Amino acid sequence: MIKPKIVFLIITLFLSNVFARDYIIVQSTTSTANTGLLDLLSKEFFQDTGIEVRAVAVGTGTALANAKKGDGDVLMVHSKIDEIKFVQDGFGVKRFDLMYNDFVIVGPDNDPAKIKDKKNISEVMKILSNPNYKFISRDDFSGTHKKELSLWYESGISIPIDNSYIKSGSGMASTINIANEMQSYTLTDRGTWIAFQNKNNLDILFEKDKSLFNPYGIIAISPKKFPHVEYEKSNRFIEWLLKGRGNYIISNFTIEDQKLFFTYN
Amino acid sequence: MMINLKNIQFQISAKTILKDINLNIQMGKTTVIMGKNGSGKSTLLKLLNQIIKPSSGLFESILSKPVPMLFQKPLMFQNSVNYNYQILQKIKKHQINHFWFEKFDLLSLSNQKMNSLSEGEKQKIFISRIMSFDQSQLFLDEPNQSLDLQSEKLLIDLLINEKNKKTIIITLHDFEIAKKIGDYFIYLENGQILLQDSYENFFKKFCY
Amino acid sequence: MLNTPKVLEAIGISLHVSFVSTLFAFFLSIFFGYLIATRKFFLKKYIVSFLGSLTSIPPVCAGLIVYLIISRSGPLGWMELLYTPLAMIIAQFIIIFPIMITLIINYIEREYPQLKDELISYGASQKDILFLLITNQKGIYLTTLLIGFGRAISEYGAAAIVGGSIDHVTRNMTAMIALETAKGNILIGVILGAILISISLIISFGINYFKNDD
Repeated sequence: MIKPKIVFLIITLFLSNVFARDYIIVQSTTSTANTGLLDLLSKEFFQDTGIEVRAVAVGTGTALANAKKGDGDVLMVHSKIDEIKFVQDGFGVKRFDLMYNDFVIVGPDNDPAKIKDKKNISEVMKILSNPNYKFISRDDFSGTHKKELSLWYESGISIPIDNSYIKSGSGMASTINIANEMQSYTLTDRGTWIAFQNKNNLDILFEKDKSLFNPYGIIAISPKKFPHVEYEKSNRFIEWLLKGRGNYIISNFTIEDQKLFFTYN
Repeated sequence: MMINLKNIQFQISAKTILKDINLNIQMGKTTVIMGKNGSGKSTLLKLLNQIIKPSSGLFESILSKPVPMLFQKPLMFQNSVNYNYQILQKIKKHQINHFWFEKFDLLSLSNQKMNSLSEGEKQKIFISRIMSFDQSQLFLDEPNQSLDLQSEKLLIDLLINEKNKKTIIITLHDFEIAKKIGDYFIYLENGQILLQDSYENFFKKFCY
Repeated sequence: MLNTPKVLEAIGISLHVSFVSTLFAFFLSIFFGYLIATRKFFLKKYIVSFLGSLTSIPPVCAGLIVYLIISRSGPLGWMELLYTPLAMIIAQFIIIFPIMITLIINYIEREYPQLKDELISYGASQKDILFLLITNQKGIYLTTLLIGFGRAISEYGAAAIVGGSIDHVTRNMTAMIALETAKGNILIGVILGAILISISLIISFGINYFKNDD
């Protein structure tokens, strides 16, 4: 008597999953989440199209890994080299430039390392590699971390191994907090920095070098490799972001009257 | 002969609790089991009531299954006095006799919580619980524990009244009380019967 | 400054997920706890010890285990459980079930032998014994529920990994605290933490009130 009911329940539970999902999963970065942009875009896209966006903010490295396992429909990160490889390896269909901002170096406002007046990032990195000045690294394969590594590389400086180079292994907020506690320098994306509420005496000390450019890309995960992805819905989302109202929302997204992200058109 | 034990042994995971037990329980008589703490009295009582099975030896009883027994640490069910008293009725599903409950003057406690009673009051409830069933065999493990002198005297008087109609097997510490109600005595030491005999002979042989 | 609708949503998700995982773990604890505690069987000691050791499983580990199973690349990926409240329920279940069943087993092993002996002498059937075992000391069951629920609602790591902290869907209180802290909104994190503790306090008082009313 009980058995048929249980079977029925189990079947309905699964059937709800077998047919097309009415949501898409976006694997994205913590910087887009920390600013609040991701939540806003999800909400607005749902209002415009009725398609629910489930955005998972796990950091670039994790987002890439998850996407390669098929745990998502759309990839939205800021590590162009990895994104291009992602598409080349067949995991993604095509990479689009979504939006950009830049990275900045923040540190204590009295600037003990005196990097404020330096001309380019290489000079800054060289000074910060000095054991006298502490630098906090994300050390978590996030977009920010990868940018930091590329800055060392471009400046021709090997990554410091002394005690003044501190690996937080954690998110941007936690890293900024550590920088504050230890009165040291760190690299952060401008978006997270503007949105961050606990700046204390830290301030932007170096910015606007072209190497600090921070482009975000968006990629639909390949239905050839993962037949279960909601490809059609993903494309609608991408189009909405590039050419639709999403584009407008991104470029008008401000915190305390400052724009956090810029679009390409 | 009501219950017969021959060369009974009882052990639990390599520990021997009872050994070389040979005895006969007579119907209609009161048998008192005595001995120091840890001598195996409670275990023997449980065995006699078929709560536990012997590890070896011959066990015969005219009873086909256990009868409600007063354990050394009787179980308290929930908190209400009424519930504890009537738990037996709920299980056995027929009427109970409130004689002992009234004799012990427990009516006034009916609506109280078990937790608010003294140990002696709780013990009286447990005793009345067992006695409410008018059964012909009584297995009682130290029924007088926690009782004040007055209640203890009442208990003994009531048991003496029941003696002729029932078979009573009881464990006791107090020799004076034992003498008042016992017909046959068994003294246990370290799980073995040191001495067993009827009233006349037992206290001749036994020095305490 | 405090976005009330969002906070209420997070509270609702926390309560929903943790209530279900706690109830689920509770009934399975009683069922299997009873079976394990009252029977002797081969490997019993090892199973009980194993369950005991699982009580200290870090939430993140529980989350990872479930993630590996329900990820697309895992054996149950086709069920599309990842990033759903059900996944969070499962992850929390794994954390609290060992604790709850260990408590139940300990209780039954303590109470059952004497209960069984006395009730057998009363002529009670197995069903009677089971019924009395369950209804007898409500206190232990309520305590088990409370401990399980407390652990479930306050954990961060398990539900976050498999739930993805998705707005409106799987962002429970602890995930929201983490997110607000990540934004630097330390104060909001503290306020949410206080709300979480208050909820636990209310439930704890409620249970203890009913326990003593027995």
